[in-house]
Amino acid sequence: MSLAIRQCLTILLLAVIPAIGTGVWHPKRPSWQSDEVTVAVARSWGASALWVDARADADFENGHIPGALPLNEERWDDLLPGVVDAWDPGRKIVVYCSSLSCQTSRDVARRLREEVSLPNVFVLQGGWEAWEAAQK
Amino acid sequence: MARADLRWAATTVYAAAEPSDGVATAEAVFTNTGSYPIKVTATHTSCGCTAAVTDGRAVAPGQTGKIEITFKTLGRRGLYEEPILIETDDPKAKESAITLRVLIRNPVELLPTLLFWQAGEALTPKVIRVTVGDGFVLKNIDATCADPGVDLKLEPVRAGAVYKLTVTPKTENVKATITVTPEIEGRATKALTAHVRVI
Repeated sequence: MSLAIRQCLTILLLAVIPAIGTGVWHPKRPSWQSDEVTVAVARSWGASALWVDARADADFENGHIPGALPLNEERWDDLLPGVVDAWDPGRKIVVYCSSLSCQTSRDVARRLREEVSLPNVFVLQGGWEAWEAAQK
Repeated sequence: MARADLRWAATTVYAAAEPSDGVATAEAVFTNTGSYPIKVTATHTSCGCTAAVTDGRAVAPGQTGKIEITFKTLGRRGLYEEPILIETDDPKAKESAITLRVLIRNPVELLPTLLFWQAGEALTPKVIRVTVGDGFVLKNIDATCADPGVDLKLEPVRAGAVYKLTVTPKTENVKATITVTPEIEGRATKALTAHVRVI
């Protein structure tokens, strides 16, 4: 019986060692931190937050977070240079779209991380509606 | 006894396209395995980029129906996962959830699309990887930068498949765009851009 337990523990140990190594050093390891931030947290970053509006141009024109830059996928190549120019390594990018269920901000955040290789890219929980609610 | 049952051929449907295609399309097929007709009454998607359309006809028991899904590809790149909610007039099976997974790729991709040198950072070379998608035949490729303050060197890692574009700024305060122009057999030439910033 004790031999079986020892063998199980050995197998477990042999599996855990490479798993820990992968989790710590693998270049594509999953993030331990959520990439979502609340309005309160993002606002607490002050001027170091770079707001990026992932909604369509018409929505952006109707209203947006002060200082936000538009970056929707329909005009990605046209709008990306504006975000790149405003970014510096000390800034945190906060991408938002129109509501909790909106996937667009996550897609834009993914592309900023993967294609442009920008660090510190976050998605605003609740999007534009959460921002508006926080102003009331 | 009357019973409802709506079976999906797959609850995840796949599509692939290029950004310039405009749309990617997929079909979600279901079978009514119940004992009375079912009609899809509404579809809900999470963004304006996805549309899910049904013909609105009742599907008789034993028959199949389908949802035509389109996804706008213009400007998009990468893997997209879009949830779609289907509503029917059957109170026993009112909602179904399916997922559209779309892979959007250009025939040639650059990675990354921004090279950045911070203030005080040594102006050492950095690399953009140029990858040609499977099945595309590259006839020629060229990289240019209008800014004379940026040196470019494009060399093959695996000719026709992977290239290394080495970028070296010669001065500070550079804000430049690199244009990579691949010539793909049977395709109109479409230039790709990457950005160089030196503070």
